[in-house]
Amino acid sequence: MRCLSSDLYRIDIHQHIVPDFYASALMASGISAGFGVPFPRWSLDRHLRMMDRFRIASAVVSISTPGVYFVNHVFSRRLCRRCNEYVAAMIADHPGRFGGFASLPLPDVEGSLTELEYALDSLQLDGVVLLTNVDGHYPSDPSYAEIFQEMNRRKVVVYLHPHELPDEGLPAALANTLSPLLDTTRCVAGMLEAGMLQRYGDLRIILSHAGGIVPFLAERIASACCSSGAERISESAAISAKDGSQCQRQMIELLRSLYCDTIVSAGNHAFRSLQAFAKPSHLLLGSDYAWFPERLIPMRFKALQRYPGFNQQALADIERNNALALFPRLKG
Amino acid sequence: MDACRDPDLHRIDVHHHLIPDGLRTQLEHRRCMPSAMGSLPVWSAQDSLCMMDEYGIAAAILSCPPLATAADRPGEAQQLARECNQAMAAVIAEHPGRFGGCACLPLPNVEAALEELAYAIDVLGLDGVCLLSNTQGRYLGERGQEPVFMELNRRGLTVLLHPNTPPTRHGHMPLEYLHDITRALACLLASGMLERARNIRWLLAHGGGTLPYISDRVLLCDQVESGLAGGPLPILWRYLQRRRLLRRLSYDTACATSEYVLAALVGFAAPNQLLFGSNVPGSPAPNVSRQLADLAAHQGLGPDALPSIEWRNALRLFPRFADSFRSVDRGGWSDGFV
Repeated sequence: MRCLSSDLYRIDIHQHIVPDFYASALMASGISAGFGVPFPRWSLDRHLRMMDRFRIASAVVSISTPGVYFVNHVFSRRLCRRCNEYVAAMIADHPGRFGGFASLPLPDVEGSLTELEYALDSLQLDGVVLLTNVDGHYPSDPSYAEIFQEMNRRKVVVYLHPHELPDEGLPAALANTLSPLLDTTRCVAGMLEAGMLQRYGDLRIILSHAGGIVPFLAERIASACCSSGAERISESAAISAKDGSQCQRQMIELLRSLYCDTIVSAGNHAFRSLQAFAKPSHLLLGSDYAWFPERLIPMRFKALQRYPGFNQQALADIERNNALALFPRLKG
Repeated sequence: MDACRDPDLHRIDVHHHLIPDGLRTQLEHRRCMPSAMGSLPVWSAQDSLCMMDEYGIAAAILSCPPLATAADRPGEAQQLARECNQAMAAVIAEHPGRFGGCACLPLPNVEAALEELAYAIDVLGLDGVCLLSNTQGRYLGERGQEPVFMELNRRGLTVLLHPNTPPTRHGHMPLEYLHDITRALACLLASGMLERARNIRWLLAHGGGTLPYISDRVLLCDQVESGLAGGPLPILWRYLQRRRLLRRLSYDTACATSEYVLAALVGFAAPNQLLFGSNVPGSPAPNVSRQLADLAAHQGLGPDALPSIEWRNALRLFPRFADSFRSVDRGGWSDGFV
């Protein structure tokens, strides 16, 4: 059945699936929640009905936190492969309705290189989902260089999704709400400082939850980077470490090369900061279904529409056109 | 040093650090320093006064830097707090009308903190208290601290909530440091302390840290798990209640006026909630010009907003200076200033 009708127009790049085999595999390993939220009950039928209800033409789906790396390399590679094949089947069975970010079994770099090739070449998935950290290993970890080189060579769209960090020092209830945003920000700051945004300039990197706190703190992150890591950066960027404001401007521009979904955590105040920071072509629609409850999705979409700073064109770009630039095959 | 006299002094700087000599020596021997502070300069009241004269600052509210009471030995924290508070009082006495002070308290030792609070306010006559977001990983509002908050509440004191380095191994320090203000506020909300101690006049440093961009998550911080199970009404009610509480807080503008920050901060906080602060010497003095220019240029702030931010709002929290500032309303300045 051809599902793309004129009623459906949105492209939502922040949607998750929780197939039964995935939930079972994790529960068997003693994991039943992500960020303190118990696994939602998910079904493909319900997912499609939700999309029709909210006029979502296509959803680019991913496995969310807690990801696919558990127990050992063998277990994780198998689980990861099964997830990616499941997503590929969803795409094939419902033409035009889905795109998919491939999971990788990081920190298993060797397994991830194999899976990357399979997911992109054989399964033809649309990009890669990376957790902002796995057990304290961030993308700026030197052991990840090979995977980033390969993703850069292939000009992959990388979707960064937050993951828990065990030792936050705060009571769990508080840590779980705040730390997703913080971890995205830590991850990006680390990547900037390690020169990765320059070195892997062909990647298109999408940040979740309105960029975490990156847009708001971009100027601060840039200046900390310039004052602490100037020598490292200047090697790869050939900019003068002595020219502070030049460095600052270049670091901010590197941060502005990132894409953000529009799931804000402070209403119009956050939209204003996000809009000041982001390039208009780099804002994307997200809902965080199925981890975020379906009944609250209208609230998210309406908040976007009600923000006075986005005119009709800007809304159309956020809700559809910007995603099509990243995923042209969803044009339909 | 009277080289930098400027008769036009009409600002109150609510975020201005004092580093007593003895403390400076001790802090330099410690291993971890908040990166936002950089290296500790030698502090003198004269240097501060010179800077204040240059930037039109009539009065600066002093506080000691974080880790002022970081101590390894029992009793050391109390001793350090006492030294800082006495040094603060001495500077205030020596330069009448130019300084106020927010006292250090040796938390998490509650008994010692209560003792120092009484001494700092009743004997030394300081204007308020500076509380760190966390001390040795114990956040404000955690269980056991109630007596201190109840006493601050009873006295209706002004409390500067200032960041401290959090105990995380993975962080990117400047960002973690700023975010620690938000963590502390989340703890104060979740524990109910912010609500129970409504008479405290809170002043959050650095525009509330990361709060303006993520305030909904802070307001809902401990509600997510129960919210998903139960209905929305109790959650909504608590959210609205807490949001009302946030409207009563004040935020200083130190390091919080760059474009992407102001875009959220103005609107999140009403103009009468914003107070000028320099963060000197943590930030270099010339940043003040930039900060004031940023505020003046921001489209969301009308012409009336700037005097409110520069001094009027501060008088609510630091009424000691109210008399000397009253004349500004009548157009004159220096006549009313002691």
